[in-house]
Amino acid sequence: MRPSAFRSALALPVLLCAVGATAGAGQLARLNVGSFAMQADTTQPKVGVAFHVIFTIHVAQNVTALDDVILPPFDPLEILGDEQHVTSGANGTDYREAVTVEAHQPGRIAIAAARLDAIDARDGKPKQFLSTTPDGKDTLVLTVTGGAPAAHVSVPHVLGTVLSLIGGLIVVGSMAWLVLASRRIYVPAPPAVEAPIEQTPQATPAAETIVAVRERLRERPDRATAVWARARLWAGVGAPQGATLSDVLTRPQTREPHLRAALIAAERAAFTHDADLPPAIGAFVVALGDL
Amino acid sequence: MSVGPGALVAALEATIVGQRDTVRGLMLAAIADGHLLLEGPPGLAKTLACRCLAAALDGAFKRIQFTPDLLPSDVIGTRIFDQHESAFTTVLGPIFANVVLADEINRAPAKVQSALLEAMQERQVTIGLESHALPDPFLVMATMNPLDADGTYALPLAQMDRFLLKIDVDYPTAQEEATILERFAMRDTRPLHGIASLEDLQTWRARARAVHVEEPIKRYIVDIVVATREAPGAFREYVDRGASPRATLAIVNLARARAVLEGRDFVVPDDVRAVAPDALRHRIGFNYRLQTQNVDPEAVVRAFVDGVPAP
Repeated sequence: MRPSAFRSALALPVLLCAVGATAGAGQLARLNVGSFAMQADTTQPKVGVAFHVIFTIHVAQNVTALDDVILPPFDPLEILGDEQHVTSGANGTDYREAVTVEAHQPGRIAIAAARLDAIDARDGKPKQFLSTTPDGKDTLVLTVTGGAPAAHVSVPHVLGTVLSLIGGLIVVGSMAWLVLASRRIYVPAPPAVEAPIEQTPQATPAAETIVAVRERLRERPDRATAVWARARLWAGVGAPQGATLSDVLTRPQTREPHLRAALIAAERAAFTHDADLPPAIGAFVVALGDL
Repeated sequence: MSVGPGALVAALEATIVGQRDTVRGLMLAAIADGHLLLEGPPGLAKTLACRCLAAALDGAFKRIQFTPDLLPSDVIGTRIFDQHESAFTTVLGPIFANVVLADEINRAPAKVQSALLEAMQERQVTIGLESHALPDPFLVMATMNPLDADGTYALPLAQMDRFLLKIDVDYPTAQEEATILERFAMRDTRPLHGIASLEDLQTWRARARAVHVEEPIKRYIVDIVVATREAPGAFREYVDRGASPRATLAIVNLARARAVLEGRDFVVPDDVRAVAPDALRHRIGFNYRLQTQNVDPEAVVRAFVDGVPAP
């Protein structure tokens, strides 16, 4: 069992919540959390321009991964990507997660703090740590502005731009002439290639992940496995932790019907009542088989 | 033959144009066995929605227009002296109906509000020395008009807490307005009767009570409610008092009702996230900063809900 999400007004690295749930405490990593920061490339992103929200954690221990970092919802921002880097050394471990996001409409956006559930190595109690912004707050406030602002126009700037364009055209023209001339002598004309059709990026979970999830569900068809499998599937489509099924299904990456069916089956297996659990897991396994 | 709640939703939407939140709120309140508070300008089909629900369920409908000179006896009933019988007889008030519309509840003085809210809570009223049980099902839909605050008696937070959910009713879109014109000015559209029975509603309620709620969902609900009291954040400064434990119970009951509406017998995180604002928006005590800084209270409620990660 994870500690509850009760929060205090104090910022990190102050203790936020101590839960006497010793039964579940064994599943959490024992960490000495030195810092937990959240910041964005810019606090004034523009509509349609991707930017990063970056979470960095430093722990004194030497670990290979931090599994209990829970990112906040990024609504109404669209998540375009998510990269994690873990660097371990003599001074401990540095964790960096960069979420690439994009705003579609101007306005004020507040991103809540990310969360790290861990056993505090200092006193052995399970706690929650919240990220803080550079100004010490736990909510990152962004002001999304409209499209790119008009560039400042000046005569030297215009002249420079025109000269650059002319120079560029000369270089490109020269290269094109050289290529065409060489083709005339040595190379037959290549077959015409149709322009690739632009497709929506699909973030289908890796095949080995699907196989592993399916096998584990077959071996241990219980609630815990269903919840674990759901989390793996969620991660496989790039959904942030803390997202709901409707969040995941509205992502362009999950338009594929079989993937949607698997995600819905995962939800049922994770939350249905005990009597329905075996058929729900069975349906989940079948849906995974269709992927 | 029993029908599902979807038939009732379809019947309501066949008459009421747009106002999906109002229809959804009515259905959730009916299935969760609670009462509904609607806030919105006049002329937005609040009364029509209530009348449609009563008609579709073949239930008794009463409308009470709250005014500053209303008395508790005008709502719950009174005892009058019958000269022919030479004895006092009890006359039951308009609250004895399956669906009661308390129009502009904030226009009546506190003692009338208290009488209504007490009846809503206890499901019975006492007139003289006799106690009378209210009909079952009993659904109160109260409206408040935010535009015209003169001569009103604001409902205290403790009394608003009695309402299971609160829906903010907004104006229809231009397309919906055109449909309203076509449906009501060009044709004689009337509420559909007898789509479902009161027994059907009892069946849906029993089904909702049996809806399964997994442990992580329960924790999620508690975390959301506690966040309104304790969560730090940019919106914290606008809140004086967070939601009560009654909000926790309201969210779980509404989430179960939503699961029934969606045809499930278990609650998923989406249910909680969808209904939590309805259960919280009238239970959070905002302070003066909200008004002076022109902050939308809905944004604050949404920030509290969205700030808690779903399981």
